Amino acid sequence: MRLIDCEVSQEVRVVGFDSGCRSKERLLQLGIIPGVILKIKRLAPFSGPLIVSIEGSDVVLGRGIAKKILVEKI
Amino acid sequence: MKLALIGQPNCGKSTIFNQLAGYKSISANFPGATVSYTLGKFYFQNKTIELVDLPGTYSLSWYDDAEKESVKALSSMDFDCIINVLDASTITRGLELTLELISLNKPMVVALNMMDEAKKKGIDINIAKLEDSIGVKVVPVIAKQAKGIKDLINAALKASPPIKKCIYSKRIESLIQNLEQCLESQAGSLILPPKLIAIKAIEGFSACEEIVSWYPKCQNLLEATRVLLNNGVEVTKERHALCLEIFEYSAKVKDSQGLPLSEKIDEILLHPILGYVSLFLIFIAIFFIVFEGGSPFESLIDKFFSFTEDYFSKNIHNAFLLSVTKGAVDGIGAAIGIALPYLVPFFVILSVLEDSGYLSRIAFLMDSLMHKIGVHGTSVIPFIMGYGCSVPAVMATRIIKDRREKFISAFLATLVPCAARTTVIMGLVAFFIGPIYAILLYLLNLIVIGIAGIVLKKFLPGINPEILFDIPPYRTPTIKTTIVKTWYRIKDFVYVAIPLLVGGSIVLALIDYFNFAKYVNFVFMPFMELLGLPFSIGIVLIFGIFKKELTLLMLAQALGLSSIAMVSKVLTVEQIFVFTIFVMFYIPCLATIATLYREIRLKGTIIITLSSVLVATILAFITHLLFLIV
Repeated sequence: MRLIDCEVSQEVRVVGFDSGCRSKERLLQLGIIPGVILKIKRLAPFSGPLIVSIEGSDVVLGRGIAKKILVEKI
Repeated sequence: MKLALIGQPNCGKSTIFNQLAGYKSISANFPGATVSYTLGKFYFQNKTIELVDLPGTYSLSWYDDAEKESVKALSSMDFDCIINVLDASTITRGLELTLELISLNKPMVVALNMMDEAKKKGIDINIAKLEDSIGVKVVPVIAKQAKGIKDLINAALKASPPIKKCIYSKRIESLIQNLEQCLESQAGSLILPPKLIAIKAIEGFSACEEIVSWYPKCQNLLEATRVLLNNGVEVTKERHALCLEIFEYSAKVKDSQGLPLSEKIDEILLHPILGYVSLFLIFIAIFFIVFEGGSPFESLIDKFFSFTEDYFSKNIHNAFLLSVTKGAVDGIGAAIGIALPYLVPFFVILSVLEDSGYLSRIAFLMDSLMHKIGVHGTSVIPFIMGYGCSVPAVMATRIIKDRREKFISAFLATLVPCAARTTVIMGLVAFFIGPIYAILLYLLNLIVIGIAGIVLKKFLPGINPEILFDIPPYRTPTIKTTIVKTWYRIKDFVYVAIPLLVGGSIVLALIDYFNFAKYVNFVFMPFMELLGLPFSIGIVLIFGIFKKELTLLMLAQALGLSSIAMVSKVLTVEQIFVFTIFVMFYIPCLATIATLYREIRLKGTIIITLSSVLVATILAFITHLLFLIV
């Protein structure tokens, strides 16, 4: 499943990225790395971005990017 | 002795820098506050030490122009020691950069900053264990309170290269080594250490891949290695696992009780409805603080200067001398009386906004709206900085990666009324017509920016990049930083703008005395006719190109009035509106043009400059027409 399909405050594990994910480098730098557990904290209205928390820090990412992050339930 | 401060964004490099070298580097609580490196000097134990504050970077593979600046400086300048600043409260992520820096094999120390915040989060770090696991000297500091800074410099002066050189597993380390040796044998000199290029190229960092591709033998090796390592992801994963391991070995985490305060604040400020209501209220409050804080001083100081001028008029009998003295007094009076009362409260608020961590949250709230105008939420930062001054606003576009988006952001940021233009809006429209009309002008400005963004988005096709950044925690701005930062920004006004204003005033008085103004104004006559403005203020608009405040400050003089307070007796409400709207949009000041040229090159600068004049003229003309109809 994709990160965008997850519910708020559900914990999921990152599996990988879609090919053609142009932000992969930055995602890795921000700690969104395959194997890591993350959680959606908040969704902005008007199809705005989401805030996910990973290992104690919060990252804002657009929905387009969230579509390209593959995750699995734990 | 030359030291470098390097670390991930928003870990407090500039705060350490400012503690040592005096306030030179604007620090703020959002990732990417420093976009170019700052050089400082200080004396320590009778030695002169050079310190370089580098823009924050998550890793040594750069993503935007600001990060590229860091990596370039790190490899081109010869540093005696690298001070790696680590935010103790987000240490696992910060260690990723530390591990990369270790592979540079240069003398380094780690400054473990924000120990207080980590403690609040329930993270307790054992310094000795951390040192032992990374093989680098670690000094705990709390930069905001200047704690541990001396120990840090002491350690930096004695620093040696890292003890541990191998950080990856044997298998990966040997694959890296193969590529490293290939690069060493094939290439003469490289801009980065070959080991770093090897690691980054395997991980798929395009700039390093390109370097490897110049050497066919290495290129083949790289391709094979990447296949073995699952496209390089294994390297990243292993490094991350190592960071976690180091963290688990050297830190203890206690469960913090209940919802932390920042979460409670976010519940309101990032709420889907309350968040926007708060945002709106905060902006209205800022407006009134700036206006109410400024206007009483304006009238008071204005009175004083009118009085002084009367005194001179009565006592100086030489007409030439009188006009020069009057020019000088006008200039000083205008600068201190009109600009400062609005600038000081504004800069205080801007500093609090920056340091509290709210700016990044505005970016989150505004992202979807910003997409409609061709940029994303991150551009909120240059926009809000734009209310202070267009120069740092244009520089702040460095944190935007995409060229097209950077151009749009720079364009729109220059349309935002800077503090100088705010003094014109406050001093004319709010003062003479009413604060509510000034608010309307700000709204008009937002609408124009919106339309300009939509138009630019249409004419500059491209993919809309998405927002992606980490949200800083809330921090209480310290009184000291707020004062120092406000002074740092006011200083530019005091040292640059006031002499310019006084000089400009004198020049204008001279022009007036020799009856030269009519020639300049003659050239502008058709233009002024078009906008329905008095011919005598054509020259004011020329001065405004140097410094926007000049347009207001010299207005009275050009109209032949003894003080600004009398402007309403000569100009009609319509003319005040037309003039203010024109000044709000027309041509960026010289300093902004210079900055634009540096950031987006000649073509972009010309486009922005010309379009702004066009936009200003059209809007001023429409206003003029509207008044004619009504």
